Amino acid sequence: MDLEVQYEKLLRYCYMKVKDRYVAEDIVQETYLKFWQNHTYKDTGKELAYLYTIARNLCVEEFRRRKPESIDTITDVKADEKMNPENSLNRLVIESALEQLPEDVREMMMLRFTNEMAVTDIAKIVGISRFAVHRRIKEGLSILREKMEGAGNDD
Amino acid sequence: MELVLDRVSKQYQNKIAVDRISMTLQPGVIGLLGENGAGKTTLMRMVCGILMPSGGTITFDGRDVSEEMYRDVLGYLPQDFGYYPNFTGRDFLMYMSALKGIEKSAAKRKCEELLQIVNLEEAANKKIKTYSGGMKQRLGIAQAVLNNPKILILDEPTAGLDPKERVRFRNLIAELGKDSIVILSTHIVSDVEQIADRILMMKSGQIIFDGSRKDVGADLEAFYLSNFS
Amino acid sequence: MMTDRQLKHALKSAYQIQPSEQGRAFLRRYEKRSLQMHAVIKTELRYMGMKSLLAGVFLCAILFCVARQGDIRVQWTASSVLPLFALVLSAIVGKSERYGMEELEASSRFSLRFVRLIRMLIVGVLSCAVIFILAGILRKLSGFGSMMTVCFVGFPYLLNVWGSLLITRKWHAKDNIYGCVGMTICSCLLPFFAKFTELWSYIDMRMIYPAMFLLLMITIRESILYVKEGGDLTWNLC
Repeated sequence: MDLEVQYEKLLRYCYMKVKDRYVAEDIVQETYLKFWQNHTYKDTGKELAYLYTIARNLCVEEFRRRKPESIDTITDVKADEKMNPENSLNRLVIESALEQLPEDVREMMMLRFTNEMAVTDIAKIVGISRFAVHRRIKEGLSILREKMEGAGNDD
Repeated sequence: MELVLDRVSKQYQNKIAVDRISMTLQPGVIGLLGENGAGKTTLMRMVCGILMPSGGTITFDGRDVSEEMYRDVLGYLPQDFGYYPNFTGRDFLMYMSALKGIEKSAAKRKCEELLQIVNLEEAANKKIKTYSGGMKQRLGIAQAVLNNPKILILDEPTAGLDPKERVRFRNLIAELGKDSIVILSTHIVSDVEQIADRILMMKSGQIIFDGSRKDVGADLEAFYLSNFS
Repeated sequence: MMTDRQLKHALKSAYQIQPSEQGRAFLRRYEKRSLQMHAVIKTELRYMGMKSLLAGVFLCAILFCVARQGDIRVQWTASSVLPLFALVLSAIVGKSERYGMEELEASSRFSLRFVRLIRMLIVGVLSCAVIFILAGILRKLSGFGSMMTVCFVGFPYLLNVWGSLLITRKWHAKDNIYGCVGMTICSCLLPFFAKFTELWSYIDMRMIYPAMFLLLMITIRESILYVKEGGDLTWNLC
């Protein structure tokens, strides 16, 4: 079920951005509908960068609509923990570490390793060169390592 | 929702069938009047995306009409159409539903609904070769609206219909014209008289008149004849 | 010290979230639209023209039975009868035009192109099956290699296919079936022609390989042109 797999990945991406599962899902559906206005259903697998760009722009619009105080990352993660108890500790650790990264690096790391997206597509979505993406991801990995090991030491 | 024709032409061998036609169409019923051989069918086929223009472009909301996604919102009733032998009315509609990409259970429901609307419920299981001309035409209209088209092209649709059927047909078309673009191509003036919001007249591949019902005046027939003599 | 591998593995569980029930319904609704090709293929198979197909199958069955008992002369007969099978199959492929459905099919979402493609694929698969089975049976009799037998058996057949496609593409009238019949007759007579002129006594038999290859290439080209043509009904201008 390729469409289902892709939908879930896009959902995770939007959730990372807006931190609200209901809003994230609305954005994902709106993204697909917009995409299908100008593409056939069979294009859905091929134009990944375009699909994610639509989602990204919708997430930005969502931010502009919201007030900054209402974004409470930790509470939402805990709420979701109740829905997905499996691996919740691992998730908490990795997500806390990710949240400490600069936003663009976080985005690229998530797309590359969580969503297994090709660097070419990530470059198109974020709007920088492939080399820059590789570089930022490398940086991101070392910062992440620090944070994860730091978190381990705090326990 | 807009259909834009930009200097559309069709030439084959030495004849120019359609000569640089440009127009923009919005939702409503558009009547295309003209004699046989005026180029109406050629133009209709190009608008359907089944005939390549020799020049110019046709786009629907920015998308070229040769694309699959355009055909997804298109309904077409050709002037003349056949059917595979031993097809029943229902077989025909189910076959066209599959080709239009309509999912099977939705197609079944839609076919039953349409068979009722065009009054072919009883004849649905009979073979099309036993149908009268009017029945076949009604079946053709049913298949044209299977996919709830945003753009509906009807080429000489009232051929073979009796007066009562014509009235029912006109009501159906007027209803559809409320939120889709319906192009009704015909040489029978009375077909468009009552339901067309916009009237086009075609002669020798060119549009010689383009206006609303009001521009024409009370007697469309007289107006039409005066333009064609 | 965490390795990159461990980090990347850890990242896989980030932001994990399941679609809601409503989300699954959304997916179901839209997934169906992309899978409809199966429906068209099934529909084409269903309305293939059972009578034609049965006639073809009957013909093949006779051919196979005869082939199993006969001697080398049977090989000539088999390869000369096979083009008749091609005629049956080309009748199936050309259904849209013959019954006046081409305009309706061309204006549908899947288009006449797709319908033609599906029909040609189905017909192509059947043809290959018939030729290979027949060649398998005849190989033991003739003593030639498998490849050569396939070529001898398949050449008149493929010639008929190529010729019929060319005729259908260039001559657009409902009567073009008669042209195809003419082509079939020529293809059927070809093996006899080769036999009576004792063609293989002065031409190396291995010449059949390049000839077959060439024929295959032009047939493929003709097939592609035929399928593509389903998108532009220029011949329908009146």
